[in-house]
Amino acid sequence: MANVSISGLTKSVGRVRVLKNIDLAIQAGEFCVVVGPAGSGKSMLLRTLAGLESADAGTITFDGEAVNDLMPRDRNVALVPQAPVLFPTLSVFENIAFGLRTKGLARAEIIKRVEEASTLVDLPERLSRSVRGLTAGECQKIALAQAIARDALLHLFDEPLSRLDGVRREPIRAALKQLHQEKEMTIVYVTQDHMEAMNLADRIVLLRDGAVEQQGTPIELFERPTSRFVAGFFGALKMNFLTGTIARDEAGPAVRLANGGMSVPLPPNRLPQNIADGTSVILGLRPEHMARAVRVSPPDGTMRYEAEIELLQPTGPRVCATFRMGGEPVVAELQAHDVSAPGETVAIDINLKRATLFDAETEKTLSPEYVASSDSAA
Amino acid sequence: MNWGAAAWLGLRYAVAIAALIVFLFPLYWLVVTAMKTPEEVLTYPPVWWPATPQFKSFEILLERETLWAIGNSFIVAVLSMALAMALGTMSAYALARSGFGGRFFAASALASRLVPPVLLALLAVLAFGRFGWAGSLVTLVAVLTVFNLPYVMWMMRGYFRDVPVALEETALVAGLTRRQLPVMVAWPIVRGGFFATAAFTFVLAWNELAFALVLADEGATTLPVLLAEVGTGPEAWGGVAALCLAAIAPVIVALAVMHGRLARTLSLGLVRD
Repeated sequence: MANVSISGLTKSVGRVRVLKNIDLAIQAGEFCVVVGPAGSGKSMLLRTLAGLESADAGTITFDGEAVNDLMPRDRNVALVPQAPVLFPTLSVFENIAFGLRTKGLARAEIIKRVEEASTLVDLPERLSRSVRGLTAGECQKIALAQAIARDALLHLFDEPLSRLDGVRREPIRAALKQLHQEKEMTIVYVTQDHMEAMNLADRIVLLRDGAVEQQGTPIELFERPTSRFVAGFFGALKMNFLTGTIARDEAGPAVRLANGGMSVPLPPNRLPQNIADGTSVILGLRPEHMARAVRVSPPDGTMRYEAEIELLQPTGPRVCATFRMGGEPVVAELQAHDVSAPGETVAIDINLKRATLFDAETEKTLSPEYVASSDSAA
Repeated sequence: MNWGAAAWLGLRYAVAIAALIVFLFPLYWLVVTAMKTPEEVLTYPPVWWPATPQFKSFEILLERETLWAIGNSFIVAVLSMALAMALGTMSAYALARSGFGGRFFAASALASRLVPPVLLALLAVLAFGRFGWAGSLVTLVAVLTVFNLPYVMWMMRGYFRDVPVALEETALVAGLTRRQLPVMVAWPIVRGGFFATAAFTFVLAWNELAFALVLADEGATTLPVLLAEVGTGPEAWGGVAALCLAAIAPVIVALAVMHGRLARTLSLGLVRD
């Protein structure tokens, strides 16, 4: 277990800058999930940490010691590569034990650890069999077992569940989180799956084009995205984005939607003073932050909207209802019994205290400090 | 089994047996020729099985000259094979991992095969003559090693390239040093290919005639050279056939070794995604 610090990490492959000036501090014992779209540099970051790639610039330290020039074996890291390859001439057991044998562990200890690790990843086959003819999913489980059997300073997982189907993924994911809670492990876990990131992480690092877009706890990234990209990346349901301009009137600041001229009032202190009227903005509304109106008058900071439902997509206990605001389609997540058929008009309360405003030009959040302070308890 | 399947099976056996007859006929012909009397060798229609099998022709195998040539052949074939395998395997690993040579490797490796061996042999005579080394077994071993080296490099490079880089990376992270990789990771995978290549290299050196003919003096005569010089004519044919059988025997052993290993190498099928 080690404190890992990365500063100014830069890496190019050919002419492409794969990692751009990355700064990260991972605490010992932290479960850090690196997430981002394909080609955002996640795997390269992991390989650089493992020592399989060398950094062009910047430093990596484990517990304060620079490891840039150390070979992988001297860094004492465990890695599950994105496309695991097994030793074809060794048995399942020997493949898992490989990293223990090189460390010269006692026989009994090796057997114990291999069995623990293979149980955790749910390897049903007998361990003495050859690895030939195993499926990609089983190979990935073996690679995962090989890594978690080791006492490494840092455990690096590159999409370790990507080759398993959804049903088998869940229990292993849970077991992995359990293992992290019980043992002292520092984990850097790469995935493309935003739900997996939310599920597992103590801290999420969102990469975009080789740079850190935002990092923080899962709830910070969900509730206080610093950019439209972050807001759009997370969430089981996609955030609604409505374009408009800032317009202040007697009631206070509001967003005048581009289509239809409808005005959405902003709660007090929602907008920094220095944002001028007429500034183009994007209003971000999460489907989860809308509900069918129950009280006589809308609660503070909430806008009541008479929505004519166009489309219903039930998810079981809930339903995704599509309606239009200023001509733009908006999705709200309602209780299944809130609405029975398309065409109905339903009063929906939109919680604007939890809405996010982005600058239309830079797509960065306007006044994230406010968002951070006012509503984090909600 | 239905009629179609039976017919198909019958056809496959028929083709296999026909191929077997074609391939085994020379071997059969050598054996019977060695056992014929000189009169039976050249008669028409041919004698398919000698009336009274003779074993006199095999006496040539016990002559001092023959034993000497067999010994020379073994020394040359084994040593040049061992040297070519050792040097070739190491350079093949480097070639496979560095990408050195790239597309041009094929052309450069095959270049020495494009020239008639006799021409190279004559040049070698000139070169080694300078040092007074022409004609010795050492010279023959050296030249055959160099001549077979590209083949070994070519074959072994292919086997090493089939060892995934990702496997070596896994091993590096799991605690091996870079120097341990060829032995600990690549060797178990390429072992089958290595032995197959070694067997074939042995056969190449064992059967080699041009270099041995031009380079080797009397003391260094190899079996193929002896065969070429033993003469023709009804009296000689029996002896030639017996010598041929002696020359073929190690090749058959080598092929048997190669066959088992080759089959294993081909069926190894690396475990990857």
